[in-house]
Amino acid sequence: MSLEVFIANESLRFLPERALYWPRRHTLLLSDLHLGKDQVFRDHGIPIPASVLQEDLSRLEHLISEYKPHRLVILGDLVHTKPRALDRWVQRFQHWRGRYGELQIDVVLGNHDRGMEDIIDQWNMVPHQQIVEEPFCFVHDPRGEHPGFPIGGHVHPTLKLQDGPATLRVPVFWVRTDSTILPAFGVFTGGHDIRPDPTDRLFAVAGNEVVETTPIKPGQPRVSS
Amino acid sequence: MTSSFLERWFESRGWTPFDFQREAWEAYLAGESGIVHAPTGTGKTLALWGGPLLESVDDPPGPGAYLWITPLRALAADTTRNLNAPIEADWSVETRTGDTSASIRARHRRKPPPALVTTPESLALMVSYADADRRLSRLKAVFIDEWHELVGNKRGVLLQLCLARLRALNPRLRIWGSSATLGNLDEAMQALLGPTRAGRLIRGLVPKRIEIESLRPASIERFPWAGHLGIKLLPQVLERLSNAQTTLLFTNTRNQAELWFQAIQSCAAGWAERVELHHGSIDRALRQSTETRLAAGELRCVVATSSLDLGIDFSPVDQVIQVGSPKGIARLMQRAGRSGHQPGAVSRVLCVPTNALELIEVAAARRAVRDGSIEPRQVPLQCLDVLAQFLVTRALGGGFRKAELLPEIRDTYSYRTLSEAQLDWAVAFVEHGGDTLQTYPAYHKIVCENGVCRGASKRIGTLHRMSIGTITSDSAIAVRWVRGGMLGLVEESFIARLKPGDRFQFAGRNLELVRVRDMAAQVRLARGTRPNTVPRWLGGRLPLSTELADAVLEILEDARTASDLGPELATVRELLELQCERSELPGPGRLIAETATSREGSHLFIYPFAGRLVHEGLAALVAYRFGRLRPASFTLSANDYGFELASPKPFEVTESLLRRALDTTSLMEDMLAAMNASEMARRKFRDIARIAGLVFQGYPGQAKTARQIQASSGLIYDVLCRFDAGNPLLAQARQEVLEGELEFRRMREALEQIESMALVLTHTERLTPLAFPLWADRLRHSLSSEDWAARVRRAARALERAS
Repeated sequence: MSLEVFIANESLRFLPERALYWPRRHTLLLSDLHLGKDQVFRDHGIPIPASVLQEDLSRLEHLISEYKPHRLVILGDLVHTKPRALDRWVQRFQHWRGRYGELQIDVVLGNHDRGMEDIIDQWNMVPHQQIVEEPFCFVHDPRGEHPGFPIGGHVHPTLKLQDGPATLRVPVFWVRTDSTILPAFGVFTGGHDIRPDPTDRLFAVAGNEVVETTPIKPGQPRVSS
Repeated sequence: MTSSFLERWFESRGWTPFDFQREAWEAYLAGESGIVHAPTGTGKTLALWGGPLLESVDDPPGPGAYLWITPLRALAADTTRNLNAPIEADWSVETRTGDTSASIRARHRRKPPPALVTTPESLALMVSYADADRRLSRLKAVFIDEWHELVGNKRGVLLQLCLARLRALNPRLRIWGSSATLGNLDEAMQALLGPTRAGRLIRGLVPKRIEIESLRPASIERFPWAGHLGIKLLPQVLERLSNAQTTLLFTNTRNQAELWFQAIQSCAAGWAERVELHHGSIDRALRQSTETRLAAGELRCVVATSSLDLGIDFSPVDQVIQVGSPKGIARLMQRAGRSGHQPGAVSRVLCVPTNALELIEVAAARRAVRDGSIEPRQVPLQCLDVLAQFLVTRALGGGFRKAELLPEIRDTYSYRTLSEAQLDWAVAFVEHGGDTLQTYPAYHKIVCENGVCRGASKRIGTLHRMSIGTITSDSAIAVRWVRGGMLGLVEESFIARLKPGDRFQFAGRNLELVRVRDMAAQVRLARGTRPNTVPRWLGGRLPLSTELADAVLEILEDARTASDLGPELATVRELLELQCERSELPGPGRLIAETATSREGSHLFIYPFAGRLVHEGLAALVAYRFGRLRPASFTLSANDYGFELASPKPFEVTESLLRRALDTTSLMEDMLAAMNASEMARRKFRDIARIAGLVFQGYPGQAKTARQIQASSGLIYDVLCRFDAGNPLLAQARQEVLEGELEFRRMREALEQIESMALVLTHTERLTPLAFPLWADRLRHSLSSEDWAARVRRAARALERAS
């Protein structure tokens, strides 16, 4: 179940698949795929299953068939490192791209996408430094000044919640007064626990739902005895 | 026997060798292996080392002849000095640990010293070098110091594997261990020598007489029932401190050590600078300087945790104080042995209870020491993570043939029943990731060709050697002065709760957090005001041992009839009478349960005396089984004596209902369901992932490659659960949760005992002395069976109320 949220007077849908849909422009947005990260780990002797790519792609397929977007915007960190010609995931990703050849895909370049312009072009996608589209500005790192309300990623925001003795860690959409930050889309990306300000709004991905949570007051140290 | 030179050396110091030392020397010279067990500081080192010294007279050691393994690298330097002292000939002992400089290591590799003092991890590293076989086959003997510190953990398992390798290279290798007295020395022997060899068990100077005394409050009314700091007894402790030369004051947690240190220092008029603090999170350099000053007799008091349980002799120590429950008999004996170091002298320990009930534990410990009932150390079995790591080590160290591997691995106690299928999986895991080739394309840690398995690449070798070893710690963050200089390590979760400007107490100092940068918390001394928090470290909260708990029950049983109660029970007599009046005293054949009602709702208290971990599990189990009959929500609370279930709604408890809730039928299934074992396993996986090489820790300031392959073990656990659910490492995590976190074996034994016990169920109008600590200890947790989304929603609502 998605959740409708108004940002800069635009209706946006926060999706539990960790993506965002902008109905007025038929645009699907997601951030931080980190393709090929599992391969980097395997190269270094850490066995991460290659199935993570399949999981990400099928989630994306599901979103495309559900919302039928005219366009997909990837807000940076499409890849984890620059691919090598023999990497199997490259072939699989290209194959996937081929099946959705008519879908326009814009890629805002992230810090992991350095030197990727040509390859992104070869993959039939359009590289950008940023995309300005009233009232928004799509960027990778939304901090700082932008010509429009910035929507980005980069942070991989997660929130720690306390449920009795258990700590739940959930990816969140982090809506600040000056930016909106998407959770990382890739399943093997990890998260960064954020310290929200009291004015922030947080939307947690909880299973098949998106749930709004109110921010915590900045951590009062607990006195222990 | 040519013992003359060694006897002369003893003589020159005014000593005479003990019989057990001579026995060990002769056994060694006869080619035997074995264990010498005695308390620390009673001549175990010379018992072990005399053999090779005598041997060297006629047969001077060549390069790499002897290895001396010490569990603590901080001890290596002192040990080396002690081993060198009696050597008259032209050879010497050197040190090699993780701290040894690269140039000295290089020299060791060019020209191995005749004898090397090292750690289990450094030995594993030696096994991983390409020419390991040639170098290690020259070994004549290996000595393992303080084997009891290793036998119960995964470092010991790694050492077992390395020793099996050494035995395979040289079947006549002699292996000797020194150990404190354990309840399962036979098992410890098999773990040291392999399951098929017989060894010589040599009993040292035991028992040194141990006197256990307690500090008792003048009046019981002022004495807290529930666990509290016990700082109330500070004036009496100070008095004892001023009557002794040098005191070691042990606490059970680092948190308590910080608090006691602060309290003592602020009251120590004139000798505040002669009080020091010693615990595992304090930087090694600071700890070492404390140890040196302690050994030199410069200190009046050191407040310590188990960090000072082993190690060099601190001869100036003439008083040992234990604050809080001793928890176990072996531990109390070890700590008591820190004083009175002249062989044969009496060891004294003064126990300072932090609540009334702990006084009973002191009396129980005294009885258990008298009866010699000492805890065993369970040897971990079949750890696939350690095995996976060792296989890569072996592959790098000259390679191995699959066919030859099984007998070598089975020559360890921990893997003596390893199946061929398990070994095949472990090899496949490091060769290509697991059972199926498709899951992990282009992944290899080892490569097998023509039946020989070797390391896959130089890079893999480098990364593996950097993360070798099984010592695991929670992710720790360095505490540093702003201007540089290290104070120690503290858990990341603690620092994460602080903001810059917050004050906290650490390493005995009042500190102010300035900023967190590069995995370090930068601090400066806080001015004036008191700290507002003291870090509380995870772990370290040992449960009461079975042996001590049983002794407590026996003491309580005696208290019902005996007239002479002894000083501790006399002090708590009123409390015991109150317990009898309101309910009943627990005893060896009697399980006590109490129900009570309060403003909060209904309470059920049960006292199986099986240790905190078992009680946490039992509380969850009983709540789960009650909830199955009639949906209810409970808050749970547990301590070493028993547990409590509380519910805002009244719930009915009858004897038959209770019997069914404490039944052993389908215990495993119910436990896994009740404890939310999957979340616990996810946490436990952290250690396993590190040992099996699934997370690479890297080092601060290391190249970008290390940063590129950083991922949390939790993320890897989730990914494996989803995409490789059959991975045996996941099963190992669940198993370790059951055994390590829940003491499942002990729980089953406790429940089996309960089946034959009388059950006394009483409704009490007011809380009993046993119930009160449980009620007061608000470390409750709730049992939840809801789905993820519902829990997130509830947690979110709780946040709304809080903010």
